[in-house]
Amino acid sequence: MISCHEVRSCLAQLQDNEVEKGLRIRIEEHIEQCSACLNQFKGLEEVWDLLDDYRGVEPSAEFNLAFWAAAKEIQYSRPTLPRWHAIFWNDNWKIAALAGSMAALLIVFVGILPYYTNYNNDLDKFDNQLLQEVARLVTADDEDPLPNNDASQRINGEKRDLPRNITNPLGL
Amino acid sequence: MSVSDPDVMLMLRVKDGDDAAFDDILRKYQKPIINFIYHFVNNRAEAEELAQDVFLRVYAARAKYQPEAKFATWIYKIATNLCLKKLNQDRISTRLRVSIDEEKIPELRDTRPNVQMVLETKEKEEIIAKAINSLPRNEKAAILLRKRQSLSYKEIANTIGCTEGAVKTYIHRAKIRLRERLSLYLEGKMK
Ligand SMILES: [Zn+2]
Repeated sequence: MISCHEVRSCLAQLQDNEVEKGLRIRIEEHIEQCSACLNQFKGLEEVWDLLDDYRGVEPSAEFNLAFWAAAKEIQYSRPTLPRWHAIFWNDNWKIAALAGSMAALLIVFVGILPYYTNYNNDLDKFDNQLLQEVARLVTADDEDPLPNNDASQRINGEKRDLPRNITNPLGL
Repeated sequence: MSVSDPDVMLMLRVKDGDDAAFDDILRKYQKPIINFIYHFVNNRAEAEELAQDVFLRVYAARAKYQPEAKFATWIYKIATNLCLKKLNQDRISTRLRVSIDEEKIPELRDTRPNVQMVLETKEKEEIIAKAINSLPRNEKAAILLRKRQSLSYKEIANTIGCTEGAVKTYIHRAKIRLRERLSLYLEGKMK
């Protein structure tokens, strides 16, 4: 037979109908024969019923109004940063921000391009000047002493002194 | 799940932007929620304040609401958690705290029968409130969910966030404590 100690440890559960069937039958059989355990169970039942007399309060008449006022207040008084963040960080603004960035990059690129081109042109000019200068210096070294000297008189880079009369072969 | 629950249907309407549906929820649940909290904190103003917080949380969650459980289970879970948090903050679980204002109970007793009855009721409520408030917070939560909401041990475990075995212990201990603390009152009534 189940002991008084075991029964008493299960009385609260028995009252709440939270004891499995087999155990419940054994406890009930015990209580029928044990007045001490039966009194313990009755004591729990009395206390449980007494708790019903702790009724509570009626809500204030303005509870609903107060709720909606609080709900609206929360809706309209969100912290500034998250609110602005929410406004600016929706999908439309993400697209706009991306487009704006691309446009800004394009403007910067277009703005830089002429300078970049000019810089290259300047480099080209400088190169050309340098080449011309070098060419001038090179040609200055073998300056033809003859005033009417021309390119036709140069063959394979060698200067050939042609007889003056040959310039007028028919002697006319 | 739980789409057959009329409160879930109301909440789904709230989710779709129907504030009138939330008014229906407020009307249905304000009294039970306020009283559930009142039995927890034993202070009317605090109870209404916490109840408002419960409804604000439910309302704020409307956009993401998913009917995963019975609406009542969900709202009582929110209420219980707020109460436990509140009790934790105030550390009132360790001290007796009764809000039924002492000054409202006159020292000289009016002998007219109806007034006597009111006083007796007040006195009785005060005694019960003291006994409940002397319980450790988890025992109090378990016993109130069992008594006021008739939740099963499994549902209580889910609401408080503990095991079913823990709920058995909480309720067993709470009932023993209440019997000890209310036995004098009951014996007096028997005489
Ligand atoms: Zn026994």
